[in-house]
Amino acid sequence: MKQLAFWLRPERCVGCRNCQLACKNEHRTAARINWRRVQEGEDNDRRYFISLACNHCRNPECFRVCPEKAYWKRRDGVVLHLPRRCQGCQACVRACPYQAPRYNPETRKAEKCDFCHKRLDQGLPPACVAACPTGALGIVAWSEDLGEAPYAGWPGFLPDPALTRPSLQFTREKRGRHFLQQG
Amino acid sequence: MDSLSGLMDLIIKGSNLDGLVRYLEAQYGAVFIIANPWGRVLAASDQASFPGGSYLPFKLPVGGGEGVFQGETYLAWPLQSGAINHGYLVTLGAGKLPPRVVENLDQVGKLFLLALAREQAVLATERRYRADFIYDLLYNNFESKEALVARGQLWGWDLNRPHALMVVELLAGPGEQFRELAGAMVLEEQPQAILLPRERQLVIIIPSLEEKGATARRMQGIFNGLQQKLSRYLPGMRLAGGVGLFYPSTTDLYLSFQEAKIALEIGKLRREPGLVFFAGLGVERLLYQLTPQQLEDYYQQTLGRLEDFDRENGTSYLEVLEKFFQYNGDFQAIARHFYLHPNTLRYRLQKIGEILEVDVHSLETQLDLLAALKAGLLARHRSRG
Repeated sequence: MKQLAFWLRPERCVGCRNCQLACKNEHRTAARINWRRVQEGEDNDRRYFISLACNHCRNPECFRVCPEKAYWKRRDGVVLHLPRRCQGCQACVRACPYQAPRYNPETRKAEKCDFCHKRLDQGLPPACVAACPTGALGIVAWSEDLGEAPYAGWPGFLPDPALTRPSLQFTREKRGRHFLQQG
Repeated sequence: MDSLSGLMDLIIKGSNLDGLVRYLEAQYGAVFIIANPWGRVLAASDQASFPGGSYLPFKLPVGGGEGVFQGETYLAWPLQSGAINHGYLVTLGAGKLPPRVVENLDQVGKLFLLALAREQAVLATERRYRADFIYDLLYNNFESKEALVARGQLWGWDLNRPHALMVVELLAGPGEQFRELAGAMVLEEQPQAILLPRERQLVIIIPSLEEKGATARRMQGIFNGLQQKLSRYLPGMRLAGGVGLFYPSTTDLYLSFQEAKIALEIGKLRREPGLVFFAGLGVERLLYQLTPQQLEDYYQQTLGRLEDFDRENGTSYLEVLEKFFQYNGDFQAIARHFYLHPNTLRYRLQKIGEILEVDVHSLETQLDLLAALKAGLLARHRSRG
């Protein structure tokens, strides 16, 4: 089965947070809620910016722990959340190793990245991908389970991908376009 | 009308493979069989001797050729398009095959390739629709139970009944043959099974049994049978499996699927992977959530001294401890394993307690030690990737 995945090339990310803003603009999320966040981390003595949102895992924990059956997975692998079923228990918020679902105190429900599925259905890339000026963030369609291969360049500061098998692929470039390098 | 034109006419009219082989038998007076590349009968003019879905009782020569089976001559003709072998047209006759059959086999084979490709395209479409339905079932994509049950009825499945789910994965061996063979073998034993092949995995869903513990035994039976039968066709293959919790409603099958995958992943980390039940995971389920660093820290704090002692003195106390838990503390069984006297083992266990400065007979300590052993195994597996 097909699985859509985000594709990150950390060497290209300059931490401009355009992806974060584009996501906020697209989904009009509440003031303190960001479905996509740019984090800083250190791996092999180098500092990186990593843009993270929901990883639409192959074994999503949010999906497993939700008592209201508010999560489902489309045939293209995108994990979606049904707000009308959500009771705001935050089980998914606690279970996700990547803290992708966020609790909105105004609506009293959880919410998370939906891979801009409406844009996808129109043949457009997700807003965050379209907004990335350096090509650090992209999407890729896995046609089959690639096993451990996509996690070869997995940064040590992120949670272990073994349990949930996130749909997030890292490509580490030895001689990439280095816009800004810290440290 | 000659036999080839007659065959073409039947194909145009939409006759299935069974109709075509029966027509050939009437024309040539020999038995005709269509088999897939692994010798599974797709259609046969003699249904009593070669029922559909069974495997040919003789081995097909790679690339086709002649052979003798129980005094009868058979000729296998590969139905090949480019480099892809779609199957074989097999003809079987008493004594020598009539020259008329042999002469026309090339052209008949081409017509059958066409018919087979058409039938396979229809089957592939059906398989895709079925796979989409099962995917929706496994990922909670139905609005209500009524919708789920109604869709299931279209495929002949009674999803009003509770079902149980198992995921089987091929750890070593050829994936393509596994997909082909494993599904057929499960359906042979469990015609009501719902199957979804996924790369090197096969998801098996069967109706639950009412008697307590019977469903788990049935699952174990399917797994053991599969392992036994597959090893005959695929020597050296290895299987692992995971079973989710049993739920009273099929709307919860998606939970069972996620649990089965977790059980499978944890089972793969064990020394002897087999069928692992999510319900029986115990402390491993908690350990699995921790990072390799946390696991390694816990292992080192609890058993690091014993490992160092073994390394410095050439002893194997760690192995003794592992076997102690593996044999549930049965000194007789452990003694047989090591070819030692049980009292020697008691002494060694005492020594382990002295090295670690703990009371090895305390249940709390034993829980710690067992958890640390499991944590160490998990950490090493994770760091190997």
